[in-house]
Amino acid sequence: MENMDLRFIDSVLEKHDSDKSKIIAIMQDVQEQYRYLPQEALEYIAEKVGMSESKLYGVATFYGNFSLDAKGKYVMKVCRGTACHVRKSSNVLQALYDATGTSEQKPNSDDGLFTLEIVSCLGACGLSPVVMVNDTVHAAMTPEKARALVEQLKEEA
Amino acid sequence: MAEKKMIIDGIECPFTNERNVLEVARKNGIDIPSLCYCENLSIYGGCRLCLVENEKGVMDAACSMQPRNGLVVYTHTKKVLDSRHTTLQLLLSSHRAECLTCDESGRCKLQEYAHRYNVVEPRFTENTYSRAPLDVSSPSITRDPSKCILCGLCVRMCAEVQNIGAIDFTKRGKKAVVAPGFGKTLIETGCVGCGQCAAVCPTGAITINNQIPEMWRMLNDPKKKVVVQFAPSVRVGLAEEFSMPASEPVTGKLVTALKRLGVDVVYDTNLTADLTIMEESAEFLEKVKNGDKLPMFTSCCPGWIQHVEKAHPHLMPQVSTCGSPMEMFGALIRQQFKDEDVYSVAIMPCTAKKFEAQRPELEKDGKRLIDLVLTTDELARLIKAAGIDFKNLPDSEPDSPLGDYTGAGVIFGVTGGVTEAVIRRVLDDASPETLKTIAECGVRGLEGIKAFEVAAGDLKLRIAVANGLGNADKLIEKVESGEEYFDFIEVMACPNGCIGGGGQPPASNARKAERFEAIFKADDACELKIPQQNPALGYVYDELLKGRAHELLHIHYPAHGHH
Ligand code: SF4
Ligand code: SF4
Ligand code: SF4
Ligand code: FES
Ligand code: FES
Repeated sequence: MENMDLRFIDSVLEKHDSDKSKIIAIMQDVQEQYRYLPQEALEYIAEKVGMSESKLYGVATFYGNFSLDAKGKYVMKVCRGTACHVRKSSNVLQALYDATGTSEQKPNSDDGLFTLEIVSCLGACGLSPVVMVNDTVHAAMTPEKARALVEQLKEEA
Repeated sequence: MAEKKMIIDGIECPFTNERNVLEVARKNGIDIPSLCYCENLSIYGGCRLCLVENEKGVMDAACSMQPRNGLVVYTHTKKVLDSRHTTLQLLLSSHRAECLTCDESGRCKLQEYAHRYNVVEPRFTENTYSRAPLDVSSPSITRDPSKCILCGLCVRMCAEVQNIGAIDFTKRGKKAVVAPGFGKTLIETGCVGCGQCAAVCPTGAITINNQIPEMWRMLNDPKKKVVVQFAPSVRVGLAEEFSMPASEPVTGKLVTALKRLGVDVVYDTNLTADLTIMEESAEFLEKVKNGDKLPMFTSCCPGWIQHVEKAHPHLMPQVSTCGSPMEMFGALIRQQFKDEDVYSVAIMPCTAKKFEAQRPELEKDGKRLIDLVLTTDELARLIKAAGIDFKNLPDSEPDSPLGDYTGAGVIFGVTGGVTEAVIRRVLDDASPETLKTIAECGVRGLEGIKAFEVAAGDLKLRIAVANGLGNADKLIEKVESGEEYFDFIEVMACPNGCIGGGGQPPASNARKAERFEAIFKADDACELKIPQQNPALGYVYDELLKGRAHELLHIHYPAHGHH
């Protein structure tokens, strides 16, 4: 990550008084902005709040909600839980891989728009197969609907 | 007040201000196993191996239990033993137990307990040990996550005592690993290679880089002249490895053992400790005279030097440019045996010296000053491998002409020693009265930070001594905030100074106090007490160094800047 705007990080730090005990909130704000926690940002924060880098990294990696990898504008969580599996979520996943140009080994699309994640049961089995895009749930997905969704998102972006 | 007692396994155990039931038990000769507890670190209570049972049949961790008058606990009931067994089995089910080839074997606590409590690795389940990569980036230590039991001792040591925090718990669940942040390797962190994490690690997950095979190769090479120097604190760190009391120095046996190993020439680093004092005192008095920025910091500890470079680079110009005693002896050895095929070895209490020896600045006239650094611990293994009965060896003296030293050199081995030697040099008076005044000025003792004042003629010097980098950082903070002023500050990265170095056999506080005693016994045994009395100095300055003293005995690291 080159030339990161540290002013934004400064504003977040200021909001939380650079207080060690508010480190979770600080990281949440940063993640909201960048959709992930850039290493440069964390190193900067560690120095500013007086925590070791390794400790901050430890906190960031402890919570499943924080991500240290750059993510696309649209994070697509494809459910591979049992209910979704039974209703052929694997076909949906393959359709999304193809439409976005991603794969299991390469979850980020080259245009920076999509990140594909496989998750286990999203707790919406009644709507299976389920794909979540950022915070929106898309129910009863089929490969056709998946392709249409990708096209629509590309247009919106 | 009546004596306080608790009852452990039906035995009355008196206690005073012990920190927990675990300490009370150990003090009274009852060993409760523990994997995540260290007397010098905060209490974690995570390994659950120290569980004991009370009268009501409730189990709790002895390391987290406050001793109380009349408290009753049992340490080997069926319930306790079953729990230990299960805990150990769990640990082994995610541990790459390859004891035969593990560097920690024989001293590993996990191995010891598995044996003691009859635990075998569960055969038919898949072992879930960490597959995180081996970290061999540091010249001093190696991290092997596949042997880590996540006890956190290294994490606490590095953060609480050294104030560095190079490693911490990262990830979670099955992927949890103690490591630097962001997938970095140790060399990319603030790590200074002090080896204190390895000293507390109960398993082979952090070990000191083992260079014994290299030493054997050289000892068995007839073309090589192997010249060995050994540091002050080596003589007080070896005894316990051979079932001898740590409170007596074993200098004479050490020299004999080195000779029997096939070393060609044996020197005592004490000589160049004396030399360091000559150079460092001159440098200090010069700075005082010129009104240069003070305090001047000592420079003999490579862990400290790295810490300044990584954490306080702006202070580097205030760090003495004197090479360490190891460096200086390396320089003398190259002058003494100019055209010979010499292999220059230093036996050190220190893992950071392995790094120092490799630094580009430690090369003069195109030759490495030190080819190999072995720790005290590695030397003990070498001696054992050679089948030498160390305990019953006769004494010998180091070789001449570079074999002389004074008591000022030997006390380098403990915190405050360098400073005491500098004061002896500056006061320039070897009378018993003066020596006694110096010894009692506040410089001696194992406290983490000492501060005191010494009068030298019309100079009044404010001096501070710190051991452990956390303590050094505290001191620096006080100096930088203007709260305190000092003319001279000694720092040793390891707690208690080199006697507690990362390369010494790991020792309890009690054992380190014995080593402290032993160092001053070695000082007492020296006729000569102040460095300027060292009879070899004339030879060193006039014949060996011949006008090149500054060039060969001083080291300018990049962060020192220009002078
Ligand atoms: S760390 Fe201990 S138990 Fe593990 S392989 Fe080494 S000696 Fe064996
Ligand atoms: S060698 Fe010292 S500085 Fe490096 S990780 Fe271990 S304790 Fe920390
Ligand atoms: S590396 Fe050693 S000291 Fe550190 S957590 Fe693992 S087992 Fe414990
Ligand atoms: S299995 Fe997909 S939502 Fe439950
Ligand atoms: S030593 Fe008490 S829980 Fe680990």
